[in-house]
Amino acid sequence: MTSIVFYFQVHQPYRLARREEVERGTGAPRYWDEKLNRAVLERVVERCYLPMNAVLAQAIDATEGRFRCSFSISGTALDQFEAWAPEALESFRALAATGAVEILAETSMHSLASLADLAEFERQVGAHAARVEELFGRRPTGYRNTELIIDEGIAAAVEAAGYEVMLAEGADTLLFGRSPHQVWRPASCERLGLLLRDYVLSDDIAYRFSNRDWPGYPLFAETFAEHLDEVPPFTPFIGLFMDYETFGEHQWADTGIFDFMRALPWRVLDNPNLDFATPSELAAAFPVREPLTIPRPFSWADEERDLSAWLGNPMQRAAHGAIHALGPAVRASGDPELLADWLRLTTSDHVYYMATKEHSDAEVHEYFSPYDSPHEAFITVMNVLDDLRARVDAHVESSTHGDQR
Amino acid sequence: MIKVLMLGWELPPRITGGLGVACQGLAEGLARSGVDLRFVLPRLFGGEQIEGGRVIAAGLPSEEGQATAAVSWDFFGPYAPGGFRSALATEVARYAAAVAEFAKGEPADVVHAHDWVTFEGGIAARRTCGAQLVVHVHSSEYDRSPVTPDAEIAALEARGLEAADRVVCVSAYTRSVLARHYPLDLDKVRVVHNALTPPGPTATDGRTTPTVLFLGRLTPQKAPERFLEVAARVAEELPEARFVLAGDGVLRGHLEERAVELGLAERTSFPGFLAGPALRALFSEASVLVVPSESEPFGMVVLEAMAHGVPVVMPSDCGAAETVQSALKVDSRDVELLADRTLAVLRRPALARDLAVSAREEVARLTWTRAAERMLQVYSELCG
Repeated sequence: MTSIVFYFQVHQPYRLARREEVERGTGAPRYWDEKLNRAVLERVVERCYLPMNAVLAQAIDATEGRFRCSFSISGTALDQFEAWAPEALESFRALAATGAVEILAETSMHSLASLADLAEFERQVGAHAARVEELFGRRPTGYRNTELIIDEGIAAAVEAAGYEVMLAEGADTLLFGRSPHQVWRPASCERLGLLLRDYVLSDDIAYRFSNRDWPGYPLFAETFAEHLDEVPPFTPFIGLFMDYETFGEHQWADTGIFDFMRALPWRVLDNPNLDFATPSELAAAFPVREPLTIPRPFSWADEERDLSAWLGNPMQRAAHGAIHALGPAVRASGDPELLADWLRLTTSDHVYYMATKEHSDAEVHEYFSPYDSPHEAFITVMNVLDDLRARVDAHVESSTHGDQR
Repeated sequence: MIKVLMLGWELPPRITGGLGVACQGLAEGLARSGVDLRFVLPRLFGGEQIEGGRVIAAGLPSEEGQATAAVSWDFFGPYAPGGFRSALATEVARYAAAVAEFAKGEPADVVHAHDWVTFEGGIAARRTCGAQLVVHVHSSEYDRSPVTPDAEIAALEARGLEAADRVVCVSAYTRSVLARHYPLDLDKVRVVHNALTPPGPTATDGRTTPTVLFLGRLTPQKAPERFLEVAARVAEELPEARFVLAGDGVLRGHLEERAVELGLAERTSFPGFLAGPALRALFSEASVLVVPSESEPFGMVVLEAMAHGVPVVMPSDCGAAETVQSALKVDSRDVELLADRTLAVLRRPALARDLAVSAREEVARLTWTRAAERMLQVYSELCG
């Protein structure tokens, strides 16, 4: 029996306003482009989250829970649901309540704290786990890091935080021909289960589904289910990990993506060799795990599958460094508004927009970016950081004076 | 082999701006592509050449064609201030007649005229040799004098545009300016962006103090006064910054006074028009080039600065912005924004470095050979 492990990433960042708009704001500076953020969220809720949740709920119901899947929902996405689309949050809660859906933990801010500040990383992971438990009724036991970023240090920290299983990319340069379909253990860990993404089968859905130049086009559920059955007997699982926005947003409804996903559970369950499982269920079923050395950081992004999508150029590294350098002072200020602004800046998207790659990866970066250029992204973030730093200094100053009085 | 009679007003080394540089680059690119090319100038000052082509002085035997230093070129310059004064009018008419005579003896397939000063010559030469006429607009009267366009120059421009079989613009921006001001048949317009002849190696990096550069004619079109306003904002935040306005023009005296009023006198210099090694040295010292132009049909200085690894802040609607990515593009009427972007380059080494490196790489791809290929397509539309 081979289990299909679906994992869907739900994330929306808080995009920054252009500086001109910041300055026009009165009183406390407003860094965030509320209009744009709300418009994007409402569009994605309507095109993707609600219709796709309905598809999955129907699949779970009709198969009496034999269709199973997992989600990670970033804290910034949860915040935006609470503010602008409570019906979407309710719909995810209803999915979780079926018992067929596992909600994984991540950093609350979809941040790169794991690459800058492990104490901050642990705080964000702890905060998000508590929120997931509160909203979805179950303490998460599975973990996925921002953009599936992993190295042995991060894996060890995740295990130390009590997680049973973690997700990562099944990169060729990590596996060197070994299987992405067995449960591994990061070499730095005692027991943490490591589930890897089958990037070929995942990207057949996430990237190539509507590509008319792709030989596999058009992809039907029946064909895809046949591909899933092409693995050797006794293969533990196939990890299909992707952005949830694939459904209806990256691949529009008229590509047939919803019909595909409506049909797929049945085509899989038609095959006695296949079923569905969530990450924690799957890991529990395979307690014996071979160690896997992770020689460098990996992620699921870009051709390189490394950190270059976020830290590939000096602007990105300067911004990433500056964001996290301000963290301790913001935390020490104890001011909730300063902290809220700073936390949103830790979201990985801000440095992702600064990438200066060429060729096909550049198109992906541009697709997501609200900026005209990576340089504009960098300038905007650095200007906001300057302003935030000045506010932190002013706060420290005023509280010092307060003490003297 | 296509025979092209190219008409221009200036070529390096004696130039007043980007026009002569662009003409030379394009002509050499075409010559490399096998075009049989003659380039007619009003006068020669020495050193003008087109590799692979021939440069001719209009209607003057070669010894007389060698103008002496006594002839003030500023006086005849294509963008000389004061509109269509009689000296320039006389020169334009003399040039047109001489070009027509020349074309009679050496007929061409295409007469290609650069900017309004040569349009009359183009029309006349087409008549005498029966060639197709291409007029090439590097800047229009409405770019140069947006507030008070010279009626006679505008009329000459209109005649050229009307008579031409093809109108080539250096940018889509220029095409839109022409479309706004002239009854232009857009079906005969083609856009061919300028390119760059790879410069020699940049002098060793001389950046010691933050140096903000303005490079262009000191005329209202180029908005040097706005540059000083930006400078004042930058100096508030970064007192050690210095500012260089390289170029000459009617506004110079006014600008020098304005620099004093703004408290910038100590840190602002006006070295005049620079070219060659002096300009290269200036690029090696510059931290950033700011282009605040009111209207910039292309902006050759943008490509030149980028080729020397100087980060550029420029108008998002200038012609060069259509072909390059590795520069900061802003609404150039917004002084605050220009200052903010300038400060960003001066203060953030990661940004300055990325702009410098990627600008060099990007501009290296903008070759005149490529532009000449586009130009050849236009010729072959006409000559089949």
